[in-house]
Amino acid sequence: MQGEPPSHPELLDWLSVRFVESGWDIKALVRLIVSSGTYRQSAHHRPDLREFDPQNRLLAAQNPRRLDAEFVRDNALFAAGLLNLELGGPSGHPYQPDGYYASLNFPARRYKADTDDRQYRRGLYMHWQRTFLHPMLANFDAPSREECVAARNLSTTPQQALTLLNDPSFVEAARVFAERVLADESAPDFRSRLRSRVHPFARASGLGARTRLARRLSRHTTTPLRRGSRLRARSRFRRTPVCVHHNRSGRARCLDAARTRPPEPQRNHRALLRPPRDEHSSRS
Amino acid sequence: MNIPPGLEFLQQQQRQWSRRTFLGKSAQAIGALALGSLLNPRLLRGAAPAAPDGRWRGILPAPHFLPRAKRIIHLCMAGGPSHLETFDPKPMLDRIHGQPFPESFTQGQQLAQLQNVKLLARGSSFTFSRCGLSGQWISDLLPHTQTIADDICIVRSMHTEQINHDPAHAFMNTGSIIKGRPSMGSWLLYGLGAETDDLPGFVVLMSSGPSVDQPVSARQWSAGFLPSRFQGVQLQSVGAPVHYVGNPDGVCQSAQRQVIDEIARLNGFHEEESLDPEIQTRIAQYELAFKMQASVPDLADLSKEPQSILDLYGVKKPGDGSFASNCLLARRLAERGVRFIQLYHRGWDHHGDIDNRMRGVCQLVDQPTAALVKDLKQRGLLEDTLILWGGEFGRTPMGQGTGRDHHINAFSIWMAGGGIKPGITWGSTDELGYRYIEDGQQMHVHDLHATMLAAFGIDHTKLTYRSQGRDFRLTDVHGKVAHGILV
Repeated sequence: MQGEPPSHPELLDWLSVRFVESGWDIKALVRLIVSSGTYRQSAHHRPDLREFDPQNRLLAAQNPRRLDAEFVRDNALFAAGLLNLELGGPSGHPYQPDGYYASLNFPARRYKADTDDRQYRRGLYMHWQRTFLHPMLANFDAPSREECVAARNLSTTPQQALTLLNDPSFVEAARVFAERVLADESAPDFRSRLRSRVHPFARASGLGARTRLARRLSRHTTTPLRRGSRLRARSRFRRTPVCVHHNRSGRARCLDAARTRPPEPQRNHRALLRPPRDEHSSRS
Repeated sequence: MNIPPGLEFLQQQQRQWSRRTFLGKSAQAIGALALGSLLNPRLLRGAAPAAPDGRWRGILPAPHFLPRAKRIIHLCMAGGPSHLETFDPKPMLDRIHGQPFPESFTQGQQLAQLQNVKLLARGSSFTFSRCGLSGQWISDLLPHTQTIADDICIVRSMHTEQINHDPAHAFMNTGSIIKGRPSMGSWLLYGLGAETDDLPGFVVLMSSGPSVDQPVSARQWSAGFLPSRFQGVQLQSVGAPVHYVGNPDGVCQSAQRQVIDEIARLNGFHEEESLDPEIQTRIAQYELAFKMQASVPDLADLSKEPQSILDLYGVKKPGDGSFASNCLLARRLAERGVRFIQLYHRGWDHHGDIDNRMRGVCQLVDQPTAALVKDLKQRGLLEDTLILWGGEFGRTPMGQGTGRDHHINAFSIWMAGGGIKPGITWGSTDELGYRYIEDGQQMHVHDLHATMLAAFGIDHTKLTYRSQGRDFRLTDVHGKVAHGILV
């Protein structure tokens, strides 16, 4: 068997000896590793290591790890201030494409998305239908629980991009997020609003990203904009603000991005496959 | 000078790193990171794999020999179809039906569910006919397949190493049962690149029936240690093939375009910081997603298919998730330049009631399969499309009540099209259909992989990828090309 030479041979030796001396106690070995300073380092990017050890072979920082499917959703809802952190209780039913259960039998089921705060429960509490796993979860490699899975797949697929772009849950989170930043009057410019209000996001991304986002936001204005942050989910869909999308010259170009419907509307098969409409001609 | 070991290691790493310029010669590239740089057109600057449009053109600068096949449609009959009821008639087995199965065959052999059970021979309840000008034997359960006898090459000497479904599928797809190995579709994409920018290069469709068997795990189309842009993308068979393909209400394509450009820029920042090659994949997948918003509805719009074509395949309701619908979609995917199209049909795991269940599943699969071959042929696509029909293993010549158990020592598949000799039968099994005959025509799964790659003009020993310090290939250290079935 060939392989690369180990990066830390002495450490391996030391761990081996500890392992043997502990009476081959696997639990103790795992505890030793995961409670070590090295393992508990931050995964935050360290520019000084970039040239020196780009692959992080010397473990000067934690390697970034991907969010699991449930947390991808939680993260978006949290950034928008929508996440419902309630513990326990019955599952939540987030928006799901219409007709997804059409071929589910014995008994036939109709999926009803929650219209109250349960909509925003953590991914952990999402309703779980074996073999008909919520498409968002499936797209981000959550197992269907038909069989035990020790390690989840890690994929990077176009469906993930489509989910983040078009799944009503994420569209809504994005809209509410933007709404809040726009409505925030604590600071004059969007960049500082992003920094101060959007704590998790600001922490995760650098200055360049914030500047870009701020620039993008400033190209939008909303009328009429509601005050107050948390509205009941129901009314959120009924009275959504209309966001006018401006082009560079400041002329309103098209109605944009503002409305999210709870579930995808009832459409027949053919209509569902219709290419996305370009709305310029009809609505500008 | 006494250099601490850690530093020495680092210097070695740095030496490798500073040679980033050499990455054009990617066969020796170091691991995923190097490949990631390759995927990045900025680092490529006109080297072989990527074109100006950023499409991945494959790691191989040129084929090793004349390629006959450009794409493959793998009709995976999941569950393990019985060879004894389909392509491998055994009169001797029929004759000893119900009698004890000769121990000389089974002694010391691996069994799945028939352990510690008295083994009785089970003959086939179905008749076979010699078909076409080639006179190949095909079961009367498959009347439509009988009509394409002169187009297909039946391989009766298949054998595998895995006796349970999931590992056997993994073995068939990746040549290994160890998790993290790339599937054959991923290898082909990696080696040859894609012929389309608008759809994934490796597409998976699933159907089942009449009975529902074991699920097929997504690891079967995983890219393993290859970057995940080479992994298979499963399309939904029922309803919209891809969820969330339409924009939210009020969002036009130009707004969507701006969002995607913005995300690409943000990801670009992130990539510069972290050097994670998967971020390039992420950017590319956003781009593909945007294109799929138009290409997928077009792909799935079967309204322009004439009734004669729907009838040929036996499609009752387009997009109903049937194998027939999927076969029609497979042709449309082939026309659009998808490299590897994999259709799973679950429903072949006949431990009991094999006679009725074979009738049921054959009825669903037979006509669309033959239609696909005929349709591709009439469009001139068959000559460079390789079709592979078969399961992950076969079934025992010993009965299991009214059915048959899993069997690894013999099973039948067929291939057609791109580079495959039509109208021949390759390999054979013993008189009871228990084991393949070693006559030079035996076909291990590794041999099948080697032969398939050869049809694509690839020397299977030369398509490698370095992972964790070792060069891996689809055929590992095995594989013998069956030149006899290649044109």
